Amino acid sequence: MTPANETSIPVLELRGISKIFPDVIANENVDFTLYKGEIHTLLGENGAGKSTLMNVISGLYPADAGEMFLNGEKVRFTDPSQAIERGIGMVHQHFMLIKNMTVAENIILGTPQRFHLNMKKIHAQISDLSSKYGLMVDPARMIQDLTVGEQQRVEILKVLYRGANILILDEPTAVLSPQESDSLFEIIDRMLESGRSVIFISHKMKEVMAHSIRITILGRGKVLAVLDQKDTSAAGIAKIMMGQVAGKSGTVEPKHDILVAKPVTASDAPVIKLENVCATDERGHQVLDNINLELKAGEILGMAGISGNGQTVLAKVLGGLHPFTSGTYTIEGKPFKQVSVTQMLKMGMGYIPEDRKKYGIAKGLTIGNNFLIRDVDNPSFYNARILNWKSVFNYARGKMKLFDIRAASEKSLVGNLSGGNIQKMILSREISRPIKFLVANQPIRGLDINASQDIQAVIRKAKKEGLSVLLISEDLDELLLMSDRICVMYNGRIIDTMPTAEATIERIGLLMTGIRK
Amino acid sequence: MLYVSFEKRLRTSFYTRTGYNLLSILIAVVIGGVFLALVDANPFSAYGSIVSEVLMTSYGWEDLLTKMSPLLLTGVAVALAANMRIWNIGAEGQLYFGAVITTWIALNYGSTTSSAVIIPMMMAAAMVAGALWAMIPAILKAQYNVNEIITTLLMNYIAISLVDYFVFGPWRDPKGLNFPITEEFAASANLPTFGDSPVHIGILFGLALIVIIYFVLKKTNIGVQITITGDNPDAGFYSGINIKRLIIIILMVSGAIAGLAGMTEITGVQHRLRQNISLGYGFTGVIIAWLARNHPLGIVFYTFFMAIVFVGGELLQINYGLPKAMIDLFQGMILFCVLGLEIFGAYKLKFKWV
Repeated sequence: MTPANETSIPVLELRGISKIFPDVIANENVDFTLYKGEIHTLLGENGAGKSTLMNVISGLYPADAGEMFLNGEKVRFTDPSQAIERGIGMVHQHFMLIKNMTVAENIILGTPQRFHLNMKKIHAQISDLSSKYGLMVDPARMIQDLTVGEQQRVEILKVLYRGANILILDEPTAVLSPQESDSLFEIIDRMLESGRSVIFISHKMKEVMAHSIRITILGRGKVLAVLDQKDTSAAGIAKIMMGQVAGKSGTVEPKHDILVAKPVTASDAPVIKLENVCATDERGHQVLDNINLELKAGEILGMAGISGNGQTVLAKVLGGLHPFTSGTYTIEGKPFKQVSVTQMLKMGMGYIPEDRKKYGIAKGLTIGNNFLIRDVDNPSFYNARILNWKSVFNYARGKMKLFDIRAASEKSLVGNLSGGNIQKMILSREISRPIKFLVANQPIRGLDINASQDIQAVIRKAKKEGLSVLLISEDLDELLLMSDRICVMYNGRIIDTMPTAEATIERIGLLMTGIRK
Repeated sequence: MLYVSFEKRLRTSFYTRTGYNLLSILIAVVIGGVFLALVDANPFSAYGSIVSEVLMTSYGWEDLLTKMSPLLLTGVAVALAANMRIWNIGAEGQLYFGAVITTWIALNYGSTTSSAVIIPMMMAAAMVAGALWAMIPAILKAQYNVNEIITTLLMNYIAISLVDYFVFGPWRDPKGLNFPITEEFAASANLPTFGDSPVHIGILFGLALIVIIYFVLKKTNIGVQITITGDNPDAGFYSGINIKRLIIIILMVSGAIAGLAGMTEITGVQHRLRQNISLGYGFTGVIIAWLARNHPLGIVFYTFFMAIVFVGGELLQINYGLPKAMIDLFQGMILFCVLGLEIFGAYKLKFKWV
């Protein structure tokens, strides 16, 4: 870590920045300073205003009040290109790369170039930049052939190519294995040494404590605190964020229940069993390769793996959203050669999709209406086959209160909710139906600490009542905390399974990259 | 520098959207007035004559109610499909095909069957016919994701040509002086009217169907399935809804309602089959559905308005010698203005001096 030179003019300073949207004050009177050579972490729950603040800095929209200074000079951006010109580079959490173009093409896209491109020269420039910062990647390869870690390097190269001095990294380690995360921090160190400054957004307390120099905590649009890393601890930060003493995970009592339906088979027999299940994607490529797994009642099987190794397809197969080409899917002793979503709903399956916004919500409809998704035929909403909207909205209102889903009312359009609230809605919907097994794909991704602990507590309680859970998560700490057994997916296969007692982050991390000891 | 941006509205208020709808109509009326002036017709006296001769006379109202009948049906037909983001541009053809089947029954059984039997028979047959006409685009969309705008549109021309075939050929009235018309339907095959007026009961079918369809949409589980799938097909899939089946059902029901419009037109107004039984009612239905969006009363209101456009346009044709194209022009302009101003229903314009 490079020490910051706090007596000099900050390389970036925000004073009193406010940004107001029609229904929410996203940023209120925010002060923020960034010094040269510093890695400054921005922490905050979902909806705290981090993304909005970064969007103001990177020029996506101008602030409604307040001022921004670059190296002491007042600036105001109305367009991202202005920010890029002044050396601000944002690396988004969700990559913005064109899959069927090469690394080099993606990097130079949008930059001023001669009409006749000299790709050899460009490749050389990129290779130079690559080796300078340790961002090894071949400029001639196509994005779709790269690993997620490599794609991220391309994203970083994009901003470096444009001469970025200030880099904003939005949850960069979300998609990386532990080893890749370590490499990333080495790369960040090199950038800091060369005089750049980094704003780092993360949810992961361990990383934040290990790598930050200073930390700004946002909450509900306001700055809650600005701390020096050496003056604080994970517990101290959590206390500020939650406004209460942070309990040790695992001891929080859940505020609500999961309805767990009683399993039909004896508790020793597996509730779900996959035997030699294979699946392909739309292009015919094999994505699941002879999957064998079993889940008993009251068991949580954690699944680790770098995103894109088949976990999502497996979750979809289990939920009935993706067909499997061979093998058998046995549920409570009944074997199936193919399943449909309706069948899975009837059999008491709960499924939280990874891509929640795509599958889980109808943006133009009300929250009440959205609670009908996957619950369309629930008889409690009907009087003699006629829909009783009042009962639907009452139900929604109840769930909103129970799960702390924040919106103007149960009649608000879901499209206006923040990401975290959407997620809570989808989760609450799924666990409010009587279910026997739950496939949860990244259930707490994007949730703040409070909500995450809550959800984890709910799942643990339900497990005691017999719920089987397949928990797919990129958060290895969560997996170690919650699971009875952990398996790792690599290249469409379950490469290893072990009892949690025998699992370590190092071992899992290696397995995630395909290395079996 | 003036910084202009669009800001998404939190909620598209019914009043905002209606306001913009009415504004578009007003703009269309003004532009129409300009066109009238360009063809040497005084816009004020022209519009004035519409008011006095259509809205203030009993025969004007008879015309309006008669015109509303097919429009209510095509309007609700298109609106139903639109709730699932399916655009049925084929209401015109479904109307024509419904008329074909109706004619077959009327010509073959009209003289030997009583009203009480033949009228329901023709209604049912016309609806089946319209559904069948929509089935081909429906299956193509459900199974192969073929864009229904194109398929339904093209099926229109097939249906219209089919009618041409029948009225020029096998069904031509031998006593019709060689005109491409069928013989007149037997009295029992004609829709009853209200008292002595020429207004037939077809308008009741339209009103009834609006009530039924909106009840289904808002108050049944199928309605929920339609609404969810219309907003996000992926959510529908996640919900276990059989989307392919739903697409086919919705398009076929939409076609059926449009087919019924064909039946009411020829048994209520024309009393025979001939060319041009419809003045583009199927296409006007699209405009009505778009203007009304999801509000059943909106369909009635905008149908009424479109009926004024039709009847008023016919009046101007007679009184001022204007071509029939004026009506089409006017309706097209309304749609154009509505679509153009549509964005303001969802977004607010914001100006900031930066």
